[in-house]
Amino acid sequence: MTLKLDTVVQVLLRERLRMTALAASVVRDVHTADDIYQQVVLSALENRTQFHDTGHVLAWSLRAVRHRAVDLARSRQLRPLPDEVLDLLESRIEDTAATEWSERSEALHHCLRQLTTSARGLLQMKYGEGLTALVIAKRLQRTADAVYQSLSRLHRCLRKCVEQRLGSSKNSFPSPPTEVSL
Amino acid sequence: MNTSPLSRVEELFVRYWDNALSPTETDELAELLASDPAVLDCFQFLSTQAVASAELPPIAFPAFDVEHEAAKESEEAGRECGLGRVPPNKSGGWSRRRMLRLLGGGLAAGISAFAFGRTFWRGRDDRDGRDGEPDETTQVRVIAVHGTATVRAADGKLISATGTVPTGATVSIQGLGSTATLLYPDGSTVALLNDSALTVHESGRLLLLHQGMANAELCPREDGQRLTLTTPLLSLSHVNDTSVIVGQGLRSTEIEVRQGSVSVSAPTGEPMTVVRQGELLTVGANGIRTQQPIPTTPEEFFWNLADPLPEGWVVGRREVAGNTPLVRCEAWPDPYYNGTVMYQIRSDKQWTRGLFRLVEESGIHVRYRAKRNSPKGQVCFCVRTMQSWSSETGMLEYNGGFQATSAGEWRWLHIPAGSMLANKHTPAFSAPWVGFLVIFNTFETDVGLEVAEFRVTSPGK
Repeated sequence: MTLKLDTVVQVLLRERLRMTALAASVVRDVHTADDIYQQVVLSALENRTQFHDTGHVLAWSLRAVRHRAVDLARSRQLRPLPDEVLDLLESRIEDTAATEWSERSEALHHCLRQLTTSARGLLQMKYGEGLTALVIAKRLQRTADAVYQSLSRLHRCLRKCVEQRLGSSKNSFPSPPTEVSL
Repeated sequence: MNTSPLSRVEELFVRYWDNALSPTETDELAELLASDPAVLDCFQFLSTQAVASAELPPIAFPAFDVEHEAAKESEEAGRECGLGRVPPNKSGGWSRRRMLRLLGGGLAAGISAFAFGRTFWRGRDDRDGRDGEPDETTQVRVIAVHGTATVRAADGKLISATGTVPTGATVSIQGLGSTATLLYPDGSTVALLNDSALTVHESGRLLLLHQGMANAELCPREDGQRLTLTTPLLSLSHVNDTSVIVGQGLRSTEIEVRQGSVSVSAPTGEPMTVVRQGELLTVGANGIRTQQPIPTTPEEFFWNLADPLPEGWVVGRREVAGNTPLVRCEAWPDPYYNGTVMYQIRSDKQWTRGLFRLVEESGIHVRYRAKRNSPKGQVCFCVRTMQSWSSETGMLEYNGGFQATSAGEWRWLHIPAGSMLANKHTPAFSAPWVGFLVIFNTFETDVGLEVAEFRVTSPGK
C-alpha cells in the first residue's frame, strides 16, 4: 500500500530535528545540514510511491541524509567517523521512539531558553554563525582552548538540565550524571 | 579532571565539530561511540543541541567574556552552567529555521496535517496581497532552493528567496541543476528546474510559467481550490490529483502527464485537448501541436546538419562549406563563467524528452576541424536521470582538446561515454544518463572549431 502524500509530508516535517541532527553530526555545519534535510524531503516526495509505512519513510530518509552528509563531508575533507559508528548512530536514531525524541527535544528547548545571554551568544557564534573556536577566540580575545572548554561545559550543563527536566525515571542517559564545577 | 565517558565525548565533540581532533583523538571518539550506547546517545544529543542552538533567536551582546562569564556563573548554584532566567524573546521575526524548529517540536506530538499546515503557514511571512485571512489551502511557500534563486515581489523588489510567496511575485532560478520548490499546505508541490521563472497569482492558485520547467505534483482538491497552470501558449485549468511536467521553451510548450489527466486550453480559453497519463503534448507558437505517448529517449542519436538547426538551438551557426554542412562555434557570454565570452556550440535543450540515453559503453563520435589547437577544448553533456521529474543533474565531460587540422582535413574523435565521468560535476546517480544539452567549448580563444558530425552510438556499435 502506498502512503498518502500528506502522511509522508507529516513524517518528514515531524522528524526534521532528528534528520538534521544526523546530518549535522557528519557535516558539522547546521546550515548545510538544513540544506541536506530539504534535499532529502524533496527526494522523498519524489519517491513517495515506494514507501509502505511511516517507519519506512523515516528509515529511507535517514539513510539518504547520511549518504548525502558523508558525500559532503568527504568533499570538504572532513575526517569522517568510521562507517560502523555511523551505522550505530543511524540505527540508534531510528530505534528511538518519536515520543521519547519529542520529549527530549522539548526539554532541550526549555533549557536553551534559560541560558544566560552570554551562554546563548557563545552557542550562536559556534553553531548559528558556524565560527570555529579559533575565530571566536580572536573575537573574544581568548584562547581557542578556553572556548572549547566553555563550549563543552555548556553542553554538559544542557545535558544535565535535560536529564533533570525529564526526571530520573525517564533519564535518557544510563550513565550517572557527573558533578562538575565551572 | 573529569573522566566520565559522557564528559569526555563532550570535550571531543566541540573539537570534532571544528575538524580539530588529532588522529588519536578521532580514534578515541570512534571507540567511545562504538563501545557505549549511552555515549552514542550523548553524541547524537550534542548534534541536536548544535542544531537547536543555531535556531535560537539572534541576540546582541557587546563584549562577551567567556572566562569571566563562566567564573561568574559558578558563583551561584542556581545560575550554574549558564542557566539563568532570561526574558522571553520578543523578536517578531520567524526565520525559516525557527519556523521549522517549531514544526519539528510541535509536530512530534502528532498533530494533524491540517493543523500542521496552519502552524506552518501562519506567521510574519503571511504577506499575501489579498484582504482577509490567507487561504491555507492555496497559500504557497518556497521551501527548498538549490542553486541561484530570486523572488521579486509584484513591485519588482527583491524579497526573501524562501518563505511565503506573495501574490504577483515571480520566482526565478538560474543555472543548471538549480531548483526551487513551491510547497502548498496540502503537500502539493511545484518544482522549478534549471533556468525557470514562474509568477504566482491568487495566493498560488494561478501559476504562470514564463520559461523553463515546472514539475507539479498536485494532491486531490475541491473544485474551487484547484490550480491553474498557464504558459504563454496554453493553460491547464483547475488541475488536481495529477503529476504533470510543464516546459516552456522559446517557441513551444510541452506537457508531460505522468499521473492523472489534464484539460488543456488555449490562452483565449478555447478548449484544446485532454492529455492523459503517459502522454506528451507539444504546442508550438505557430499553433501546430502534437500529442503522443511519452517517447523513450533513444540510445542512438545524431545531428542532422543537412536540415536547419532544431528550434531552440542556443549557440553556434550552421553553414555549408562546399558540400559539407557544419556547425561553427560562436562567441557567447557564458553565464556559468560570469559572462566571460567563450567560443562554443550549445545545442537545443531537451529536458523532457532528452536527446539521447547513455551508459558507460556508449560511444560518442565527432568529426571536426579547427584552425588552431585547443588543448583544453571540451565536449560536454548535461545529463539527468531517467525520471524527467527528478531535478538531479550531472555532467559528462571530454576535456582532451581539439587539434589543428590542415586544409581539407577532418578529424574524428571517438570517446567512450565512461571516460567522460571523471569530472567534478559527474552525475551522482547511476546510468543510464539522459543527455539534454550538448556543449562544445574552446573557451576564450576562437580556434575556428567546426563540427560536421556528432553522433551517439549504443554499446557495441
